Amino acid sequence: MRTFSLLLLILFSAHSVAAEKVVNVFCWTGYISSQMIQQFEKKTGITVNFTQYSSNEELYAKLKANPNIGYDVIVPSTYYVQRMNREHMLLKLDKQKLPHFKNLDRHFLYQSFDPKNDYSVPFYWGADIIAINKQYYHPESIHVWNDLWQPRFKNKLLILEDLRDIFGVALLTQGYSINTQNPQQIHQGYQKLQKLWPNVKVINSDAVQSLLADDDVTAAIAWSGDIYAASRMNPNVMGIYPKDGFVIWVDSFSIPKHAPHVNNAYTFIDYVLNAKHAAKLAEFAGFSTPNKAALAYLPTAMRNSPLLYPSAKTLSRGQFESYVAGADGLYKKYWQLFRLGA
Amino acid sequence: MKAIKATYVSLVFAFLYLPLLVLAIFSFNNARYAMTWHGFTTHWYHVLFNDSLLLRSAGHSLLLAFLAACIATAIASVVATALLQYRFKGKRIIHNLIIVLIVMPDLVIGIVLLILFSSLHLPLGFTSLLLAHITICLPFAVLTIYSRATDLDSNLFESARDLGASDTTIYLKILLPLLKPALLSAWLLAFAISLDDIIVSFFVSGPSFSIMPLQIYSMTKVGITPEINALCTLMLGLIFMIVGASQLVRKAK
Amino acid sequence: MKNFRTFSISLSWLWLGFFVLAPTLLLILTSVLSKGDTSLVRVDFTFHNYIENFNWVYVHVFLRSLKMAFIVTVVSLFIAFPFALIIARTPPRLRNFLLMLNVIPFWTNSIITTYAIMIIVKTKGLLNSALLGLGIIHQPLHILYSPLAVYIGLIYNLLPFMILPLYARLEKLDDRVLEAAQDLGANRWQILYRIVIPMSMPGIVAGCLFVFLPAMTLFYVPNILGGAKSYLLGNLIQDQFLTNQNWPFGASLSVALTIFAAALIWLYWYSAKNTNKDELL
Repeated sequence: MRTFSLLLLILFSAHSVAAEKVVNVFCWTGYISSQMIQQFEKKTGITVNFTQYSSNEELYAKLKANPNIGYDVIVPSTYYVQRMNREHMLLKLDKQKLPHFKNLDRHFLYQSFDPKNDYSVPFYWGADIIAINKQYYHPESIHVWNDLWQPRFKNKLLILEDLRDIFGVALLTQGYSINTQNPQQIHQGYQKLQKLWPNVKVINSDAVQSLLADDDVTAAIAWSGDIYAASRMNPNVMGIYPKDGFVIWVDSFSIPKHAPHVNNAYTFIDYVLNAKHAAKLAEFAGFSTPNKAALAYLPTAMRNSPLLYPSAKTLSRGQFESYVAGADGLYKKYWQLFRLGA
Repeated sequence: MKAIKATYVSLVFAFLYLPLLVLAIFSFNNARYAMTWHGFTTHWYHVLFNDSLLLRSAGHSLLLAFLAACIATAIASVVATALLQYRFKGKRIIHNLIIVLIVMPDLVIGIVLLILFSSLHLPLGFTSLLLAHITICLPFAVLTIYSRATDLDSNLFESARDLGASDTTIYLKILLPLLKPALLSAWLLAFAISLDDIIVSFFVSGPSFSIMPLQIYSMTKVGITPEINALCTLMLGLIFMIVGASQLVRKAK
Repeated sequence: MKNFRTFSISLSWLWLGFFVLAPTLLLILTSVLSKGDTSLVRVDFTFHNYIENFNWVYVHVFLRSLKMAFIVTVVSLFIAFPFALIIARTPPRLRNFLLMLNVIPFWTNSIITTYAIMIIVKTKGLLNSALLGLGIIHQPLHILYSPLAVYIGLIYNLLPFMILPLYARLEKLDDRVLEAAQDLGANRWQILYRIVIPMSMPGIVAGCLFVFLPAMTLFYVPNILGGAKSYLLGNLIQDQFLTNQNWPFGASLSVALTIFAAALIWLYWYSAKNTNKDELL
């Protein structure tokens, strides 16, 4: 009996570790370094429980399955901010608690997916473009998305495990909008994807950097930041902005509605918005930062990289993703079929 | 003939141990991504010991395994006793439920518990993990204890009862001491199962209590760092010690 | 706790009822519900999910997993049987040591072992470095992210599960039967085929079960080592609960899988019963 109550005691004391000085951060893989986490913990005394995901769907599913799951900070993409907001999953942000909000570039604020930025604070942005290893392929020989459908890429491609991003590519080859809700257009996009299947070797979103750097894949549809990071490790890796357009995404901080440690969440987000910290993180992740003040602290090579900060002319060919409420089921169905190789 | 046998066994052992050896050796490699040897260093062990996230998750795993093993063994001893000594309504069902747990693939167990916890709105975290781990360890612990218990002389209990001992006394003063080796085996088995579990934990874990296998899993999906090698090597060392300990226990029987 | 009998029976019922019976019933219930758009399930009873299970696309995944599991099982059996046999016939002291060596990879967390395979078969990994260095190949082999890597990973992780039950059975082989056979003029191979293998059948079946079922449902091995073309049943089910948010369909797949597993295990009980009868004769 005594041992049993002792056990119960241990159980409850372990449980009460979930005390006040905690923040649960659920973030994309590779976005935040453990050094930054430890720095934050030392500075504020708040313990960070840091878990990572590699797709919006995973984030959404976890939060949906269990609204009280306990995440305080999450990082959804544009159209998921829209979607989660519609379904009342996000907390309305009090910008007074985010003094460093002013560091952000106007360019990425007040967009249609969150007109007043009441629910999201941009963290990273980027584009979905083509990555190739110039040891294996001539960069000049690839201009448009369709080029990846060529037989020479048989069983060579890595594509992201991201429904909308990859569907977007297929839609762009047909000249359609990446946000189309037209069933025929979506179906044509799916048929185009089917034709890509023989060329697909890996469908993966988190190992892209090391896969490209280690020559495990030599061509990919990948995020610009990952390609940049890979090129730092392997100078043969380079990115190409296709002429027929591409997806631009923005990943922003949000706070779920039932977050248990809201104040700590604000502390964390504001800490990362600090110019020096944002620059450190951008350097770590290799992604483009929407934090204008941070640009000054970036290494010159990064700041001037056409891969991370392309010209306005190049960027004009990009499209932002928005939530496609009506057609969501259709996209999901075709994506699952594609994953199954059908 | 003997030479062929020895070669074959050595080859299989080589197959089994080579990857682990490579893992351990390259945890001392002085290079971040390369697979070629760049010199000996203990740098990655320093990085590991400074990485509070990883260490915390390793500590969590050990704590979880310890508690799950204790509680599962305790419950298993009670259940095994009930199955052994008593006839009661629904005994068949209890027996079958234990079988169901063994038959069900880990994947389905994880899902089934996820559904249970969701419908109860139980937040996923330490509690859900502990309950899940106890549940998956339970059938193996029960089997271990039960099979040993059936070897015991039932006359012992008869005589004890005749002398006026209550069932509780029989359980505490006779059964448990006699079953010590079986209890220890069950505990070790449960400990190893909990430490080793990935699939069930994947479904029922939450943000506030990260455990080591899931931490490594998400890290391997990103890429390779020798830091992971260092952690794995340490875990290997721990396994060596546990297996060695269980061998000593077996010898002591 | 006045009565230990009441306590023990209630505890058994409580735990097993709550954590096994109830969730299983919930699973079956979920499998006949419908997928919701903004919530996880919609209370709309239907057998649609089970009918969907028979959709060619999913049957294809099932068959692919079956094929992979079958090959993994057979290869593991071929590697493990001679191994277990040799160890079972070694003198006791050496045998215990060899057994201990077997148990360590068995207890090592599968993530660690899968990771170990990954770093060996990578394009810039040990295998390729060695082969290129020796001049056996001139271009690196792209094993990682192909079905071959998944095969290697599954066999590596599951081999100990084949070895141990085989060993447990082979250890019990009665030397006198083998001696008698030899005296009667049987040669090595005859003894192997006519006596050893049939007598170790329960061990063989147990080992196959311990390898076959996990080979179908271990999703993290294809996730880490496999490419797009190694999408197996475990991944399919996992996806329903993660990215697809189609819990009812995932539940129906899980139920189907469990029934399949139960059928295989029933086969085992059946074969074990039969073999035991022979032994008694």
